[in-house]
Amino acid sequence: MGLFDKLSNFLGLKKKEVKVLVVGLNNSGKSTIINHLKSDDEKSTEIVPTIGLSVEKFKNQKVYFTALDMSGQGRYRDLWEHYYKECEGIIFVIDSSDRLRLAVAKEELDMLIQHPDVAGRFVPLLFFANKMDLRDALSSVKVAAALGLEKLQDKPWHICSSNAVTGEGLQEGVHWFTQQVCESMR
Amino acid sequence: MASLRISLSMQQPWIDAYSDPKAEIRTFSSCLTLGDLNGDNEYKLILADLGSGSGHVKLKVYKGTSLSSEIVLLDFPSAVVSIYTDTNEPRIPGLAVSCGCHVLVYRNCRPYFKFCMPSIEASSLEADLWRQKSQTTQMVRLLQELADEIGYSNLSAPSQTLLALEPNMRDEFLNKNRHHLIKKQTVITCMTAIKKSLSDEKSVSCIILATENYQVFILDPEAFVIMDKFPVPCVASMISALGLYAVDYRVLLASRAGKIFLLKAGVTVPVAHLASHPVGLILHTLSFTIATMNGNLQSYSTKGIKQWSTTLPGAPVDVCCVPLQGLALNLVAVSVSTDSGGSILLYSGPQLMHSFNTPTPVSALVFGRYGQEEHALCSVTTGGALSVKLLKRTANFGNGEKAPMISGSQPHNIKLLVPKKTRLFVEQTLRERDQCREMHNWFQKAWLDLGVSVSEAYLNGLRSTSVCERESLKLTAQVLGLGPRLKIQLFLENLAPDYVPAGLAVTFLYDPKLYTIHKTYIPVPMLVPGLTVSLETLVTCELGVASPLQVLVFASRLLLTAVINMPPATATLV
Ligand SMILES: Nc1nc2c(ncn2[C@@H]2O[C@H](COP(=O)(O)OP(=O)(O)OP(=O)(O)O)[C@@H](O)[C@H]2O)c(=O)[nH]1
Ligand SMILES: [Mg+2]
Repeated sequence: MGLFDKLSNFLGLKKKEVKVLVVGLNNSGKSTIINHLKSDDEKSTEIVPTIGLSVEKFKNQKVYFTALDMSGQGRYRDLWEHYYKECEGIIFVIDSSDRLRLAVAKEELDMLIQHPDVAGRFVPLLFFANKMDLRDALSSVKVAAALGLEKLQDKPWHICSSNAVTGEGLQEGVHWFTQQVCESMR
Repeated sequence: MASLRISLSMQQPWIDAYSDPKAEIRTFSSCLTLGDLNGDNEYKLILADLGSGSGHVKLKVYKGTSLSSEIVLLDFPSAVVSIYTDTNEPRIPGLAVSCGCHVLVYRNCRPYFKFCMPSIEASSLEADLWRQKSQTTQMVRLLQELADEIGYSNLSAPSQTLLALEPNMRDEFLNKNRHHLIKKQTVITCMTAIKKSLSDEKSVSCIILATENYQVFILDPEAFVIMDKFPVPCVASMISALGLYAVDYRVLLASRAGKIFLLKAGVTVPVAHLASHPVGLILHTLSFTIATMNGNLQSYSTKGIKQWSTTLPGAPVDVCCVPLQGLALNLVAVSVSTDSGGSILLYSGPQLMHSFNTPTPVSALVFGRYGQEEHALCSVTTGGALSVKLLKRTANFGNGEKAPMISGSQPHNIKLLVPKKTRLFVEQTLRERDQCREMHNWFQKAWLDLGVSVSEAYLNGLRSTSVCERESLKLTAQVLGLGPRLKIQLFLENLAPDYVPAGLAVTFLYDPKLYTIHKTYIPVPMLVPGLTVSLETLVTCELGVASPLQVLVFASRLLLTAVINMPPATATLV
């Protein structure tokens, strides 16, 4: 990053644009979360399972985000790793009521962390233990334990429970995420 | 990195998503199925828990990692299938359970419809007996006679019950049931389903039933009426079907005795007769795979030609189909019971692709969509434990499927080594054709000649008795010493019980350059039966070379010879 960039960043002159990757198993609520983060006039009313990926934009604390909303279906999960290199942060969404597939989410997370494009890099990781409103949802602590997050030490990470339909918990997570991203840019 | 990941997933392609060792479930594969019961795209696991024998039989529905509902069944079910019975939205399938002579259909876990197999008129004699209102003892006697005549299994259910009851309970039973019409009710032995006219995942299916009275029925799912009825030559104990009802379909039936029949276009043809009882069968488009009780997994073409057979590492308990479209593999999972517990083996054709062990043998297996996951393997062990394994996205079963098949595994492909017809052979056949008469005469003459010479030899043998003598002598030889001077010891025994040969002697055939034998002629004393005579001579080796030496026993003719392999002499006398 050149001196000019740093200066303009410091002065807040340059429009900050951050690329984030949103991953997680299908039906975990990724598209619903992103939809909730978008400004009201851009919100879509109906959310269908994503095919391949979709590119969405939203703004949080003067930072402009470009979110790559990946599809979580098994046959599209191969696409994830192609975007690891260019992203500046990763949001990992977990359906905390889908206890059966928690092990699958862990498997995907392990592969993500071990991937050469992620392993040696400073990438903030935000976890949403989504669907907290459902009856058999696990708490964020339990989800963190099931994913083995305590072992994740070389990257800043944060987990929070969320409800993508009402938006509960989303702001807290995104606030942390924005701060991390801004810190890494400075 | 990628290669590491693949090698890791090669080791274990399954994720252990859920297991409940204390689920206490007793079930079989036919009573285990998966379906989107609530139409919310969250597939449930449905199983009929036969219980430990004391409690009720229950239909249990598992959602994710927990039991979501239970339905009590009044009878033991023979099969459970989840099928779409209509095209209404939202798409909610019905759960068909075959129990005795009924097919119970549940929707949203509530009873929805009950189909009853048509009853059959009982034998008129039997109906008369029941109408006559005779005394209990007389009635039982007459029924017993009828049973002997037409067979117990051909009696109606009340008659069968009456005969099976304790004598003191018969009166009561008879009084209670007299007014009933005597009708025979058949029992559904197995059930499966095929799609009616569209092959989509959620299109309407037809139920196929096989019954105890040698019939196969196809039910229309929308109205629950019998669309087709086929007589079959066996009571099917296992059934597998493929195709579309409206287009073309095939039903594979296995009888309890191990005969396999294929029902196609309304015609039942026998396709195979197994050497052992079938444990599970899967019908593919052009072939079918069967696991048999004698520990084999076999494949036959639908025409009944055996394609391959492979030996399983234990006794098979269950098989299920594992189609993996993403990997272009159509595997067959076989659960076997071994000495150390159980294991599940995945075969692609005769090729073993992967296997893993389970603490106890798995009694029921099903593969398909469970929850949100496309590739789930749900199993129930004989110990009652429930476990769900999910196939890893990166699972790779190696390129075992590309490995060349062992040619020996396809019996119909084995070429017999029939030699080419030589010129000699062709000429001979031509000659045989031209001169058959002469050849026949020649053969007859040679045949007679042979007979004559055999008879002559026999007579000769009888007269000279040399055959007996020879056979009755036993000679063993032994070489003692290290050399150059050796001792040969011979033991002669007469085995004939009533004959004493006389004038026998022993001599040797040897190379005089190598050996000097001190006594080249040894007369044999009288050989009394049962007594062993020992003869010996000294031998001196002249050169350090060993060569075999022949012993001859003779009277007026040569009777017996033996070869002695001489040991190599260590040194020669100088
Ligand atoms: N009850 C509840 N439902 C939610 C929540 N978040 C999402 N959903 C529902 O979950 C379903 C799936 O949401 P999506 O946003 O399409 O999931 P996705 O992760 O984008 O799925 P793919 O695009 O297939 O990877 C939708 O029906 C949402 O309404 C939540 O917090 N609570
Ligand atoms: Mg989506």
